[in-house]
Amino acid sequence: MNVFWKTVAGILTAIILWINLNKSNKDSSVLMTLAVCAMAIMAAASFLQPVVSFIKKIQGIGKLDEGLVSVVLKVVGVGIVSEIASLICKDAGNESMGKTLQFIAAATVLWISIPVFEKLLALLEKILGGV
Amino acid sequence: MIMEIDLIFKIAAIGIIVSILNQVLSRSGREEQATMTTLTGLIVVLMMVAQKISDLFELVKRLFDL
Repeated sequence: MNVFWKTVAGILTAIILWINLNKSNKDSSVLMTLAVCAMAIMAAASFLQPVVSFIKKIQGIGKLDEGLVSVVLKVVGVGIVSEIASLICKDAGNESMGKTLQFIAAATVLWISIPVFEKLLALLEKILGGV
Repeated sequence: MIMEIDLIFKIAAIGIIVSILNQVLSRSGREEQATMTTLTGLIVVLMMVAQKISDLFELVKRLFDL
């Protein structure tokens, strides 16, 4: 839990410094936002590591298809990074870059999910007896 | 991985110092030097933050099998 408290303290410290920095030096304030968000996500990732290994353990026990679970994890990873990055773009005042980033993330997620759709298609074909 | 509060203070200090220097230089009529000072400060902070972003990407790649 120490990581949680340090992260919250760090973000609160940073937001106070950010207010002053945002008035006098907007470039550095955006960079500070970037650095703080990166460190906070890394702190969150330290909590997520056991969760991911627990998911893989369940996948082993339940004999789930490894590819499917891996796709879900990849989609979550892409989602987290792209969401934070697009919010930082909005903070910096460039919403179009933020939206473009979300669009690229959606395209990447679709690309990652193709194996799942193929498996679904194969399943449907089997059920419907090869239409 | 823990929140490095000293990095936050470093970024804030550089930002504030650069903005003060910028004010002083532009008030004394040295506009070009003021711009160069701002640019230098930006690059220094960017290099510090770039390392953090790289660490973040490595961690997310490893964690989510990307």
